[in-house]
Amino acid sequence: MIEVVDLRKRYRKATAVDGLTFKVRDGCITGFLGPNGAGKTTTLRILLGLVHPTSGRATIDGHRYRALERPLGRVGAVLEASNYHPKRSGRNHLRALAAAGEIQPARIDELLDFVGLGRAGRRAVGGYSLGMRQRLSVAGALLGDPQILLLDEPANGLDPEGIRWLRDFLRGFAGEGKTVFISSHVLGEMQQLVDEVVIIHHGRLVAHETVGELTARAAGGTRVRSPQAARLREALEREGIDARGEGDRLVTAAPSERVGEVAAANGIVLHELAADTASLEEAFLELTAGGGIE
Amino acid sequence: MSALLRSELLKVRTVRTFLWLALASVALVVIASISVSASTGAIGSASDDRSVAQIAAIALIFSLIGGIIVMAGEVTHGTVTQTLLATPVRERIVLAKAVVAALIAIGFALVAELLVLAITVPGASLDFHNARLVFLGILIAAPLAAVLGVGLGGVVKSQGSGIAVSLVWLLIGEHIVLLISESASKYSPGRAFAALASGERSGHVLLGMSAGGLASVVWAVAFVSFGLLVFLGRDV
Repeated sequence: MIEVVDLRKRYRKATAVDGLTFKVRDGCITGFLGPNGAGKTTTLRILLGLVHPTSGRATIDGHRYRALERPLGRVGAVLEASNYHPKRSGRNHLRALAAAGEIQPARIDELLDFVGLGRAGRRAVGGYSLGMRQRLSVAGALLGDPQILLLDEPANGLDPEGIRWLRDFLRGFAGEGKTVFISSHVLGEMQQLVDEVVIIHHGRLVAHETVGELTARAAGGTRVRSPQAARLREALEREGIDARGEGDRLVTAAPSERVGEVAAANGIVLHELAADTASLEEAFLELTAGGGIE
Repeated sequence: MSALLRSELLKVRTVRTFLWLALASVALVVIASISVSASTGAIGSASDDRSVAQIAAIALIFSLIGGIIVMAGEVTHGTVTQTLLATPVRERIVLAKAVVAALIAIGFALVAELLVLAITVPGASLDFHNARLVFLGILIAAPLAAVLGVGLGGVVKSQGSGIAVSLVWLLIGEHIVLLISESASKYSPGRAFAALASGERSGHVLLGMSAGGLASVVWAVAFVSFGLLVFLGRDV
């Protein structure tokens, strides 16, 4: 399990992460969202031991990354796509990584084929497109057959086909009971992909819940259809709940559970009772409004 | 540790940087050896033998640069991130890089010495017996220079700045120290390494070979320790 407890990272003039606490459940895909400068990349890099926190802790299975025995076999990470020597081939890059991680070199060609770089693997990375570098990063992350994947903006530079490939891959990965923690700005894509979201803003946690809960909460209303709409409206008003609408349809700001309880208590027939949901993008913008880039 | 050494050696073998460094070192040694052979004819004294053999000390500069590139090159190209993901214990990375840089430096030194011998023994009648301590000193100094380079590479944020700093020091800094204090300048990094490679058991301008060797070890350990300290605290 990934656990972040009261994490803080202060640079000279700015606070990147400010008392962040959350847990990422095993076996699900969790999105890590926030505006630019919210502290996502810093948090991921602290988790991976690349950045030192000012205080607090970020652990994987209860250990700091540095203390993991075979880190590549536990955690795979996809960070920026530019971390390659331009004159070294993609295959040789993976060979060096595999040697350091004591991973059988046979896995290298298998992974290059898997990410679609079978032929390009022997070419210098300097000639790769951004999308090819991202695919190479994914291959590097999978070298040790990890149980957890951390991805920072993995869709950057990928074409629509590449994004679809990444989505299918991540679903398959999570389908094996493995954990994915992914930061991305492509919110439409994230809504289709993730089970839960952790949203941060100004380095602080602003939401951690399932996508369903978040989108319902963001809209916060209920749509109801009943052949006894007038009676239902009166019953709701007696409970202090405002409702408006025409014909057999009503809309109210109250949660669907409350509306259902009032209807049941008054023996009112309902044909439809639905939480009025927002998109992930709307929910995200509502939660992070007034921020801007720090 | 052997896995990490294999990985570091693979990184060195899979880019041409070190091949170019080796070729540059070879070219300078060959040019200097041929010009000495052509201009002096037969060498007349043991002191001259040592001076000619010191041409191989050109390898020390390239060993230093090699050490800087082994360490700081990863920061320049951003590959240090992947290295740290595979080996999060940073002390092990610095140790492995120091070992690999030292091995490369020994290679540079051996090639330089063989070239000097191959050209100046027939060309200028170099007496190996008189020059043997110079060759031994260079073989010891080269890996120490490389380790010093690894330390410097851990401090700077790019290989270019590391190389620039080291060259400016050797070309200007050493002379400033000499102007300030002649006795203190004997212990400066450049002169300590020069003493180790001098083949002289005792010296006036430089330290003797043993004292120079000791000072070189101290400089290499000091630099690699400081480089490690900076690298340990660095956010990547």
